Amino acid sequence: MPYFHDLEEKIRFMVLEVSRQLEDTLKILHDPLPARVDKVKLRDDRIDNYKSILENLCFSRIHGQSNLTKEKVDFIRAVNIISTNLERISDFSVNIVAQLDYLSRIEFLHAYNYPPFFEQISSALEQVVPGLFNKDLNRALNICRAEFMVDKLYKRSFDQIIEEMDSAAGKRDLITCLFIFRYLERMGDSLLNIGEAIIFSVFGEKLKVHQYQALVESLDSINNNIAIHDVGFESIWETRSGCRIGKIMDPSERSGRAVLFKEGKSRKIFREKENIEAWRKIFPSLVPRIYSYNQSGDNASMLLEFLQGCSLQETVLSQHRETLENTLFLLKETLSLVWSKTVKNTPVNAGFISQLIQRIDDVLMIHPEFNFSEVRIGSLATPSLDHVIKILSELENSLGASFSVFIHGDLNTNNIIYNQKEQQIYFVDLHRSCYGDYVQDVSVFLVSNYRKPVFDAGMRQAINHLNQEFFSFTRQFAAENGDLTYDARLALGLIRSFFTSTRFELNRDFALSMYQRALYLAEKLISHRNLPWKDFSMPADVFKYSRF
Amino acid sequence: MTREKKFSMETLQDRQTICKYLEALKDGFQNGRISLSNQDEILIVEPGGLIHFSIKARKKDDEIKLSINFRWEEQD
Repeated sequence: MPYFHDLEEKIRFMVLEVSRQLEDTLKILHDPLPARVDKVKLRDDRIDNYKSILENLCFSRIHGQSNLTKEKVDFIRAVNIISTNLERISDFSVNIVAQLDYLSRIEFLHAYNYPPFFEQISSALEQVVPGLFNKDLNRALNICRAEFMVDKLYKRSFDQIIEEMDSAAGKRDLITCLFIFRYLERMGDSLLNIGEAIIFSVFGEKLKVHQYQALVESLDSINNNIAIHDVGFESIWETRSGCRIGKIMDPSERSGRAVLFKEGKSRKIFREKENIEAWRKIFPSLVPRIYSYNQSGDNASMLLEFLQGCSLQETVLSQHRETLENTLFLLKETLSLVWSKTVKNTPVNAGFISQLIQRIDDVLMIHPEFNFSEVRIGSLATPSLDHVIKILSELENSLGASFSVFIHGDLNTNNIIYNQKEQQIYFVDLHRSCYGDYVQDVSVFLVSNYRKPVFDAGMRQAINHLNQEFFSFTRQFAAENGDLTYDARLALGLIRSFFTSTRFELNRDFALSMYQRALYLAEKLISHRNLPWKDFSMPADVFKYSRF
Repeated sequence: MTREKKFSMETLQDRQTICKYLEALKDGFQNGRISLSNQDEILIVEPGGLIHFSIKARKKDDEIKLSINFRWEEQD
């Protein structure tokens, strides 16, 4: 790649300078000669300069050329990340040297085992250039591993210093030593960023080292013969809950067989795995197959069948009436089957208001004006938000469902996939599935449609129609199953979903329309609280969007 | 200069619940005293004497706006 010649040359020089910086820092810790200290400070200026030059080169390359391939752009981005972190390592060297002024005598530091830190960091630095230029993932991993080793060394030194803090003498020296080790530990963090930047330049996707390792393990566990270099990884989305989801393409298959890689906290991934297994017993074709599951510490990963199709949300936004009608038809059929097949005579309370309470701080952080006090207009008093929630919590206790069914748990329109060719719908993102109140799924579904920030009249009409149809269908299911409190529970579910959805909506008017709907329903429920719940009627207009 | 006092409220209601608010206002006019309050402010207004009263309505497509406005000067 002659085009990158200057970029390559500069990063090579920069790595060399930082390695020398580290060698000199180690020598200074043995023997702090003033001339050597000056050399480190001067070199830091040079390294800063390298960083600026590289930053300019990177940005001018990216912006100056319109025909750069993604691979080249990713390489440039990785170089920029690496140079930023190399400069940090040099800064930490200067910080370490500066700390020596606070030591009463250098021998104090010699009681601690600092050379292994330098060995780890230096040997990682040696791997940066070959790792980057040869797209060598093993070297990238070795660099990442150095951070782990440096952390271990730091822990040892830290524990030793803390223990010695109990003895009266030399506290100032002890704290200075601790600072020195802390800077070494931070060099390790910078190395991790460098290693991950190399992984990024290979994959073209930002993968944390533990995500990369999980991916390799997952692919290994399904006896996949593809070299990890050849795997196409396309990030699909990073969910709000922090799971990493990517689509992996097998280059050896012409049709481009894809699998879904999901990585996140093991508690959540494990729960999803269990739920998918439960779903497969109930309705096998509704959910993806699990190809592998791996757990490592607090994190876990899965390889899942990649389900072809488009989400119901995309279908609504495409405004293709026939496709929407087909999807809705299949959804109603599917839910009828699932609910009838899994119905149990076990009463259940969804705890909508408890769910709301858990998220209330997040809502008020974005919309503090939603926290209102009691309002009085003459003799008419409307309670404060706190009071409204308190009353709703009380009335919710007596408002459970008399039966339970197996629910999706997060039935928003993004989690329903429609495959037109197969005339099939699929459910995805199943970590919240359980035996529960189907009204949970109904309310999440209705509000997930409502909260789409689209204001085109035609599209809104389609959404209103979808909601109206879905509401009628579920209400009919309630009537057929003698569910007398359906309307009241749906009101609670909608209060919860409308209210908590505002935390993702910065358009004040749109957020307000959802918030006002939640309060309106709350007021209706509260004024009905001394009457039989079977007589409560859900105001159907509430999940229809109107322009005011 | 006297401090300006303000009270405002913005909610979503239906016919049934609107009537409760209109009733409360009606009672206030009848008694000659309407108190409006929230946590920050209590505003007591005493309608009396001549009151300017307007009703404005506008219909545009399916969107309808009906504004009711009362204005008067405070009695000595």
